[in-house]
Amino acid sequence: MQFKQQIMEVGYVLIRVVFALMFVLLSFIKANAQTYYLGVLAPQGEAAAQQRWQPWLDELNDNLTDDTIVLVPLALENWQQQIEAQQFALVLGPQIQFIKMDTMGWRWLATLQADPQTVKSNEFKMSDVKQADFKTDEQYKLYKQLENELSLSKQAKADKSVNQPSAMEQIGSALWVKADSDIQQLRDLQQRKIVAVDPDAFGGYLLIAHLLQQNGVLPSDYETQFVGYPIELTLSALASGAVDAAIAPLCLMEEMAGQGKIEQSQYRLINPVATDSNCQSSTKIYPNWTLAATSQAPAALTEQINQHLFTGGQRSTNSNASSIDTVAELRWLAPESSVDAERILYEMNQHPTQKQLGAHILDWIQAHRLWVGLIFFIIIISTINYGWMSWLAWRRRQQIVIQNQLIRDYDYKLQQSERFAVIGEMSGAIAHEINQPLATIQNYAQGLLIRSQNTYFDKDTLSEKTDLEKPAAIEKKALKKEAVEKEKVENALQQIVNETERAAAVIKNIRHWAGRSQPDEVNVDIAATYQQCIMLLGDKAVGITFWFASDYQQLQLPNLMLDQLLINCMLNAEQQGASHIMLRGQMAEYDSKRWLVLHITDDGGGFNEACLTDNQSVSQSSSQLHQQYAIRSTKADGLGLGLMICQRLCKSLDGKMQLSNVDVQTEFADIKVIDSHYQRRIKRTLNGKVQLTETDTLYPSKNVLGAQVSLYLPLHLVDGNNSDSNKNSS
Amino acid sequence: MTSIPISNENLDSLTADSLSDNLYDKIVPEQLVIHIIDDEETVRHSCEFLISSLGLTTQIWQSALTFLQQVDIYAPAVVVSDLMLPDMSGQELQVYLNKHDSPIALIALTGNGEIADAVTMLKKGAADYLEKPISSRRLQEALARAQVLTIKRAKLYYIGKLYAQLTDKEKQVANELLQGNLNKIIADHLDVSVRTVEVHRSQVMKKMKSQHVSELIQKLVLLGS
Repeated sequence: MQFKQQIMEVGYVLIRVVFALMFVLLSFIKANAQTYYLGVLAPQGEAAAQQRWQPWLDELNDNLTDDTIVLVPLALENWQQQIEAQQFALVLGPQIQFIKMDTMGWRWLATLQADPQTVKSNEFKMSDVKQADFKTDEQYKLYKQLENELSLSKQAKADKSVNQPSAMEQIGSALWVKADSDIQQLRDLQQRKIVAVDPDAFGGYLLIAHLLQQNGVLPSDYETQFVGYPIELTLSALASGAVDAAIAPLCLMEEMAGQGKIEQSQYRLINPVATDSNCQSSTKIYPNWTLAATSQAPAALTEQINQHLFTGGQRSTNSNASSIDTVAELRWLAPESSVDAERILYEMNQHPTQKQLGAHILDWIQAHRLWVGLIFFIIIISTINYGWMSWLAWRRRQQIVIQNQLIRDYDYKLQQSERFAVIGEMSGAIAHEINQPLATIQNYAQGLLIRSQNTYFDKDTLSEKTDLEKPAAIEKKALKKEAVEKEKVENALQQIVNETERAAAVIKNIRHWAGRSQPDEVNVDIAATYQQCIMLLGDKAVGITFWFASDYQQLQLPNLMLDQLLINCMLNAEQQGASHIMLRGQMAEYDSKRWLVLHITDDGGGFNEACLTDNQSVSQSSSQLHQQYAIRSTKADGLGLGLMICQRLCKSLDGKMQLSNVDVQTEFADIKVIDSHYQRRIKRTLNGKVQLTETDTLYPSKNVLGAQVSLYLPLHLVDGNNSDSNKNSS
Repeated sequence: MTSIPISNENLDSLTADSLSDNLYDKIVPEQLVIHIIDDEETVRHSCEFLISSLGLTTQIWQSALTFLQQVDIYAPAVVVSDLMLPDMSGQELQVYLNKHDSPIALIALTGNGEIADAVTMLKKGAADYLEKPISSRRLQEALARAQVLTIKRAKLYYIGKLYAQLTDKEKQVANELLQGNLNKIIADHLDVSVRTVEVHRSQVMKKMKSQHVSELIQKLVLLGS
């Protein structure tokens, strides 16, 4: 017995172990069961959605082997975002809404086919509530009591509520006008006022607008007034007579008529089409609810759901009585194509792919943000660079404008000074030429006058001697007559003298006027003036290399005096076709005096030897000087006045001007002596810049012989401060 | 006072060496030759006409170089010269004359009439500066001044030449005489005997072509001035 008892105990333990193992196994299997979420659009609120879809879902869950599907009602405002954010395995909503989403990887499972006979069947039924739904018996009793109280009124409304149309199942649009309206067909809506809910509402404005467009009535042909939600406002507006027609969602008229809000007989539908719906529609009716499986849903789950949806009707007949109505009212068919709806959206230019071009761009930017950022950075940098360069260019342009203005002013002043100098030179030359014959006339006149007076004196003496020989009366008369004649002659001669003196005074005044305009003395920088003269030469300076070397930096000279001296000499050299023009400033002794000498040398071939004498000096006669300089000046319109002006200006400074022919290479060497380390080379380039460069290179000269104009200026003109200290600093 | 006509013919003889001591005193200023230098022929001839009208002896030259080549610059004379001349300007002529201690007095003529030129010329020793056209009154004044000046310069030149012949000792004696010292004092000063002083004094008088001490003193004073 004891053994038997032990065997029973072991058997009992084994059974317990087996049960425990089974329990663990079941628990393990149960642990593999997944929970999936079904996102359902709840346009009428969560409670309504829950009430409508939960029974169907419960049945579906019952038919699933392990997995569970949880219903999640989603508000219309943000259901798209929630679907994209939360990872729903299943989505149930209007087909038109899916068009607006990214449905890549989705599978369309079924489209709900509403049974026109059972549209209302989703309404809450008290009879469906079971005792098991309540926690206590008392609650169940109270509920049954309430059911009995309401049964009479419920029965009274039963007939009325059967076949109650609803806009929830299908999508379509109805275009209503007043019964007595003259609008008979779609074309009559031109230039009419139409009311609608929202421009984006597919089951409303878009379908009718598309219909009108197909019939040749464009949106611009009629005036549309959007009243927004609630949708009843459309028909209210029509009722009030504010508009000619109203675009209403499918079944709105029927709903409102059912609620007694409107008298349907007073209104007429435009373009009625035959549909399966209980409601009147002007357009084709599109299915509303479509079940889709997202990429999160496993294939097994989808397969199970499909099996249930399309075999559910047969199976449900064997199910309990409470689920018959639910299964019967939800008839699922194969998913309908959304091509028609998409085509309408395309034609109305409302398709998401059309609308969300900007969004696509944003997505693309998001995907390629590194490159976009780089490109953006480059663009920003380029823009900043462009702005910076533009500013630099603007500033440079302003500088050039100011510089050009300064050059123009300088040129103008220089021209004015030159004009004065020319006038002075010409009037001086004219005065000289007139003065010479005037002097001759006056000399002769005065000589004659003196001789005449002397002769009269001699005659008087002579007459005294011959008094005794001639009769007194005759002689006296003759002498008197002669005296009168002599007096007339002398008066005439005196008149000549007076007039010549007067003319001489006039000439003196002219000369004084010509030489009076002596500007104020200023400190002049020799190098700066030289560069300014190069600028003034303009295009003429292109191709010429300018050299500069000076022991002195500044001079105390009348304003523009040095400019005139240099520009005249440089122009002269340029006209000779020089390729090198050199300016060398050095102290030199001449005529036992120390001078600052500015040597302006070119390689144009030199002066005509015949015109250069051994004792080259400025103190030649004006006519000779002019002749010599005229030969030098090759300019077609040149008067040969340039060097004459220089000579005159030098003289006005108590200086001298000397002309000579020199070896160009010697001059180069002389320049090097001044600046022993380098030569200063100034080149005027095509872009108008004057560049000062230092070079050791020796450039070949055009001619071996060069013309040199040496301007001897008194050394006191050199500013005492810079005479030695500024050596080689220029 | 006897005057010695000085004309073109005897210009060559009128040199410092040939002139006797008394000759300078006998020179009549009006009889000095007036040299006219101008490159403009008409001006040159008209100027000659005017100056000769004043009763003065004239000679015309086309350029300063020709003038210098043909005229003894140590003889007293007056030059009326234009400043703007070929080859050698009026300024350069003045510098040349100064450089060679010529007694010739130069009257500068200019057509420009610039004050700076006039000042420069006068500083360089020109007798006067005239502007063309020349006023006869101004010309006469200038000529008169120039004539006196050239005679004075000639005298100076002559005396200078005489003085240059003296030995150092004789110059010391001449200097003592100029200070009015007697032979004895001079002998003391020079630390020589009175007899030696007398010999030197006699040599000084002879070389300086002076008859009397007063005449010697006059020459030395003139030289010193």
